[in-house]
Amino acid sequence: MSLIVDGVHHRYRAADPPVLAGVDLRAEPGQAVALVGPSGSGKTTLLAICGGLLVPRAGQVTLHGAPMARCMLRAQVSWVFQGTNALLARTVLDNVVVRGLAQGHGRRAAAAEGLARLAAVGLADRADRTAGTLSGGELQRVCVARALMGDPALVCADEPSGQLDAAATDAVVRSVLGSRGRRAIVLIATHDPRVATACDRVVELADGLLEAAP
Amino acid sequence: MNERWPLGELARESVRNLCASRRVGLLLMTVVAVSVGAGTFLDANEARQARTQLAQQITDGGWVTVARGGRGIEASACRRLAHQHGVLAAGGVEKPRSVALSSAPGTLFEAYGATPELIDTLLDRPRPVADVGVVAVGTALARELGLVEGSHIVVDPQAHYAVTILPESVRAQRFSRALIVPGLPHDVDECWVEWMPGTEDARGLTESLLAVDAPLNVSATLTSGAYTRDPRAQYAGRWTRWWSVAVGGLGVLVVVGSLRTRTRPMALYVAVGTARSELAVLYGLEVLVLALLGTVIGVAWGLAAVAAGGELTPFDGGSAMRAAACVPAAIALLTVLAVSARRFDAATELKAE
Repeated sequence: MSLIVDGVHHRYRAADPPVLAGVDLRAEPGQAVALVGPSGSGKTTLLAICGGLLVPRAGQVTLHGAPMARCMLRAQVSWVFQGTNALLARTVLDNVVVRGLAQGHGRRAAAAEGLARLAAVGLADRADRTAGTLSGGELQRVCVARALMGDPALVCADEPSGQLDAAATDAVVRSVLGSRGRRAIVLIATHDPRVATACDRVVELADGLLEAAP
Repeated sequence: MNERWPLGELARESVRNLCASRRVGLLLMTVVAVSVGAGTFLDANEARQARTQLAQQITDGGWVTVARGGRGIEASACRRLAHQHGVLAAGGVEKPRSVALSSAPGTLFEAYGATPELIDTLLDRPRPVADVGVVAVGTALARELGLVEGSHIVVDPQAHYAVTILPESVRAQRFSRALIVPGLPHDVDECWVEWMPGTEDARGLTESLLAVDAPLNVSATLTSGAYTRDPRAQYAGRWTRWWSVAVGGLGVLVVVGSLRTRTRPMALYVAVGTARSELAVLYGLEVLVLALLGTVIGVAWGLAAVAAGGELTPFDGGSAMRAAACVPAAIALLTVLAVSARRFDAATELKAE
């Protein structure tokens, strides 16, 4: 039972050079894998394909033996993005609950789990605040709490510490990696060596291919 | 768990987003309210005018002046009168001649060559439109030849016409046993002018407006209960009935424009597992609520503005309100289609700039 990326090729337009030129990757439950590489190397593209947001031109991705499909986003795959990807005019709790609602839960059940997730990232007391009034670090922890709703099998994090200071980065990474305890596979695309070293494995993308980082 | 948004939650999420994005919402609502209000005002005002004119026609009767020139009247000068204030229709007629009809060989009938607008001054309804020309036939002649509205006849073997039957009115009496054959004569013998009800000194106005060199003999004005223009028919053919389409289009432009600025929240919904159809419903509902509010406000102020100018009846606002009801539905439906058709890469959209 694992995430298997098998011979994935991708280019955005037919005339473009390939972003991914035959990527293979395997990650086991409870394992955190850091994707590193220079800007434009295809980290976000690989993550999007692994997470089911993008369909590769060739190759395939399977999660626990099933081909990755769009519907997996609902329960099995969740995302943490760089920056303030929140509904800024809505409350903190609304931002977390939205994933529970998308999974088909009623508001009451989703709110109960949302409050528990916010407590886990230390933001239970901000639940009723407007998301736009939170700091960047706090907002990213809200995004982590949202991503962990429903105990996803795969957590994809794209530069989750990109705009945070050291203390906020630690808090966010600790929260994301905490999901390993629930047997989640964690994929983190990052430039930050501290984040990479906190993961169980580091792989590097270069020229569209994946290689183990030194 | 069915792993779909519960419909009620989707609706509540829409309302929460609506409350959260007030600025765009207010803009759309204002555009709809102002446009619907303006459309309602124009339409209801036109309806009221038609209703008032109809009532006036029923009570006042109408006026037709017939001007004769000793050496004829230039047909174009007569036709130009139709554009003057207070004139409903104006057309010229030549002296009668004899014509043969293919349906009654060997018999000659009295026919008047005339500008097409002359028929307007005689009919109590809009002139029918036909691929071939339209010839007006007096009631007595029509009965004699067994012609009905829309029949086809051939005048002087070559010319095909569709038939319209003249009403049995005072003004059409003279043509009861004749045909009026439309054409483009250079000069006419008489110029017939139909005036709006309530026009004073129609005879003097005819003389001054026609202003030809030769002396004119304007006959005593004729009164008639039958009018050339049916205000209800004119109202039914009004251009303002398309205002709701224009408003709907404008609303859709605003919505589609605003959706372009909201790709990030849309991508966020996709990333948490919202299906595209659910996303379309989410935004469609939001827009529907805004468009409904805008429409209600617009209709209210449009009708209020008309009511400020005088009495308002259900007939006046009825058409406008029916058209307004389509506006929110059209905007919401097109929003759903626009969101459904929208393709974007959520991962790239959500990557920090």
